[in-house]
Amino acid sequence: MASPFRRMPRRLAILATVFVVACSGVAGSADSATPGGPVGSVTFAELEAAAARTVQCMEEKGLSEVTASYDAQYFGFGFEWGSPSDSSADPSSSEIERGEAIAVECADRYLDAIAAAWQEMHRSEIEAANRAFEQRIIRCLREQGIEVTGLNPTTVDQIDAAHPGVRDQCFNRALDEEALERERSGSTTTLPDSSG
Amino acid sequence: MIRRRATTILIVVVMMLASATVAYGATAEKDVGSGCRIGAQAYEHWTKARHVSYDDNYGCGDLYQYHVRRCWGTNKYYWSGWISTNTIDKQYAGCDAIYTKTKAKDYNGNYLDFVDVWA
Repeated sequence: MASPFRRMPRRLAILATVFVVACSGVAGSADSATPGGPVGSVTFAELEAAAARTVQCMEEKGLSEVTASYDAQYFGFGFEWGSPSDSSADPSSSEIERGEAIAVECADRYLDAIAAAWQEMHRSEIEAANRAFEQRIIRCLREQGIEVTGLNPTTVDQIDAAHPGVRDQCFNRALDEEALERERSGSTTTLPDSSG
Repeated sequence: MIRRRATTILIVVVMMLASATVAYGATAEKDVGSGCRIGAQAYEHWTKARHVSYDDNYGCGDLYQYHVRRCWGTNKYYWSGWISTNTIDKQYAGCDAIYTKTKAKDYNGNYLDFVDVWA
């Protein structure tokens, strides 16, 4: 197969090669970062538009009354849809799996890459939340008389061996504390129904 | 006689409260390689549904979770979309915690296995 650069001036060919390599490098690192692979910097308007396209896709595939809402705590959109069965009936697993499969497929097509980039942009906030959660556990462990400065595979194994079950208790307590704070400050944004 | 009846009523009330606060659900844990062990819980409680995903030994790079839930008295399902954070806990009052799926990455950014659990 003929090289696409054969008729180009040498300098232009080098520049084009550098550009192609740089682009493929960006795509490669993006794929390994988060589900779907981020596409670089995105705006909230782009994220919102991607969520709206996902809503449309879910409706085209047969789900009804689909709405999207933004969860500020986790920097992501979630999706709600109506069940064809009666509200008082137990949902069947096939009905749930069908809805889930459609949601996953549509998000994979329209949302995941942008959502991943959005979450990547907020990584420092997510990591700060992770550190705060770890500090809650450490505080709880200290209250139980276990002195620890950080949690990692080694310290966790040591704690679990010396004090079975205590870390689990502290983990659950940290979850409860965090959930309580989230309840106090919780905020979501709902997109208007695309069909309306 | 009155004291015995009061004690019986008290025992019944305590038993009713105890049964009302029982959580129904499941936990799954899995070693997904590269020193990373993840856990997931989806369970229902009389006041809340709960979806939890966690890095069980602090050996994972990142966790990603999504879950499906349905709230009581409605005919609506909710899918959370992929959530990225090392420890995830989502609680909802008045909902069923139907399903949670969690996948992990190692510290080099490579995807590892996943774990899923139905409440």
